[in-house]
Amino acid sequence: MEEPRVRLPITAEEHRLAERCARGRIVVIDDDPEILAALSALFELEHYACETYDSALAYLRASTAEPPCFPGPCCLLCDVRLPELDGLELQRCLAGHDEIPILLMSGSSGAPEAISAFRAGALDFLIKPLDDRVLLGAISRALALSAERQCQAAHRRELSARLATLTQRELEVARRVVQGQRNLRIAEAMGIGLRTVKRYRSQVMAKLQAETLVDLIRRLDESL
Amino acid sequence: MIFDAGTGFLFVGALNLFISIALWLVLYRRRTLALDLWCGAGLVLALALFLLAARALLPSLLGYTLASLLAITAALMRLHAIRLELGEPAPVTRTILMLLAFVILYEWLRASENEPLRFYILMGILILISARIAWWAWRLGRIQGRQSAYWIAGVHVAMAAIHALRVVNVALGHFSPHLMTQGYDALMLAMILLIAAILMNIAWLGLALEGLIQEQVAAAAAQARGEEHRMLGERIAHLERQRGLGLLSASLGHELKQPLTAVLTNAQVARRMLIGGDCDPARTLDLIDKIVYNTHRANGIIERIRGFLRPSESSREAVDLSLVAREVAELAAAEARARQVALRLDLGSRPLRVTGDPLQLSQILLNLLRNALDASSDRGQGVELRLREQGGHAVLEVEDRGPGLTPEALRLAGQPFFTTKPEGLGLGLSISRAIAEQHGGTLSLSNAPGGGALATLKLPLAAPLSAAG
Repeated sequence: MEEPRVRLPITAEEHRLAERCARGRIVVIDDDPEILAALSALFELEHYACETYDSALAYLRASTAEPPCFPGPCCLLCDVRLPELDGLELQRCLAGHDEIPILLMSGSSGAPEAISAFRAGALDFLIKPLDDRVLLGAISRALALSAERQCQAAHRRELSARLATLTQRELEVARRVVQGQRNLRIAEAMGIGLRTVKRYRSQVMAKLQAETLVDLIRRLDESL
Repeated sequence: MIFDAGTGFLFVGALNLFISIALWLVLYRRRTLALDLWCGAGLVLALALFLLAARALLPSLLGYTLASLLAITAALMRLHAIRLELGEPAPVTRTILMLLAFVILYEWLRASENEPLRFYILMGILILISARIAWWAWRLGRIQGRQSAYWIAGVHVAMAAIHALRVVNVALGHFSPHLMTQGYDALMLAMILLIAAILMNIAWLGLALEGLIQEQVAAAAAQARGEEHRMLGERIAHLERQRGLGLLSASLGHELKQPLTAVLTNAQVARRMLIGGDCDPARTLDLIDKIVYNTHRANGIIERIRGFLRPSESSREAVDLSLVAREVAELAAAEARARQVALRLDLGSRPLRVTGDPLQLSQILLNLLRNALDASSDRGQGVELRLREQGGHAVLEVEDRGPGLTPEALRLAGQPFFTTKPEGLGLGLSISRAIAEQHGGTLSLSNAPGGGALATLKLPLAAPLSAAG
């Protein structure tokens, strides 16, 4: 997993934006410019960073370029009815390879729309006109989820980086330890000395920063 | 002697004369051939009675032959008049031939001086004709439900009865076959002729009045039916309009939610700002301006919908077709967006004025646009709305890039209840076509060269405004 490119703030303006992004970045997609303006005014008042797009395609084009951005949680607030590519289709497009939580909003309270949105993994389905408390509640839940996902992702990235430093032999020993094999048995199976096994084992513990056997098992479980 | 036959017949003759003329004058405005024949019969009978009254003073050719001939002619004219009134006229040539035959027979009998036979034959003919008149008058009463005809029938039955009574009395030798005997037979005949003259003509007047009333009732009924048709037509058009809009209601509802969402969110932002102690007037004012703008936007959508649903009497005014097209395109735009169909307008820059009802014209347009959207929804391709001027006509075209129409659909499209859509009623296009025709225009369907269907609405341009305008 690649680490997202992080932008560094230089100007005072950028510092303010970075602060907002650290609190949360909200991407709003709607084909009505008045709604975009109103929502971005609301989010900025609540000290969030807000990006607006008037179509799903515009957002996809912008996001595939993967511009560097300030670190922080991020969520997507998208209208269901959009020209060319609608909200549900965008959700399906993003479902495979994006960790950003999606909130959908719609003018109609059509049950089929809502059901397919939830099936595809939408975090919430909001009915227009939007109540600010409901909206901000959903946004903070989405941002919390995003922060958690980013945290997990960072953790996984770190772990896989550590795993990458293990040699072939160390990895083999580690796998057998996790399977519950005793040192003697490992030495017999691999045809190496008991002392060598112990050395490999302690090297693995050190590289993965595992204090105890339980720690080691948990780390390897997460990454393997 | 209680009664002078000559005076009596003279009197009855004069009565016939005056009543006939009076009847003819009264009904002059509603003159028919039947009336002319009927009143003519009265005049002819009057003449016959005058000749009869003056029989002693005249040569026998006038006093006998002509008088009898005229009396029978008068009876036959009445028969013709009644049959004409019933709508089953008798052949005229046959009547004339019969009259000729009668004259020859009568003259032959008079020459052979067979007095009783001549009397019986004359009486027989008179009874026969009276009976036939009674029969036809009765039919007239029964078939057309005109009560007055029964009076005519009754009078003629009575006349036939009096003639028959005379024949019996003559046969038994009570009376002489001669009419001018001053006896009861002549009195009886004169009396029945008097009563008949009055009753028959009153009955004919009644007949005419009854006919008039029947016509008025029928005319009123026809007018009521016409009115009902017109109202039903307007009601159906209105319902169709409602239905058409109902089919767009989901997208219109969504369209309405957009400005409402903007209004609510802006209001909530302003509220949060004020609560948070942020009272920057410029920002607050900006938010309020946005609220006002979006409220107007929502109102505009509602007004458009309401304007389209308003039940209205059709009006005729100068209508700018390009304006109507623009408004309807805005109504349909939401649906087009929902179906992801691009709606392209090419309306030109000049207004194109036609005379008609703006609502009905927009109904045609919405119908055509909805059909085009229905046709192109699965392909996600565009619908084009074009307006141009051509030879004194405004020509509006709606073209889609759908599958087009099959030859059968082209033939049947526009007929009531023909539809290719599963939930369609098949009324939209037939109503649209009726409206176009009411406006002196045409609505035609064809397949566009590029594939889809092409609907063409052609309306005559309104006369250009006067120099002052």
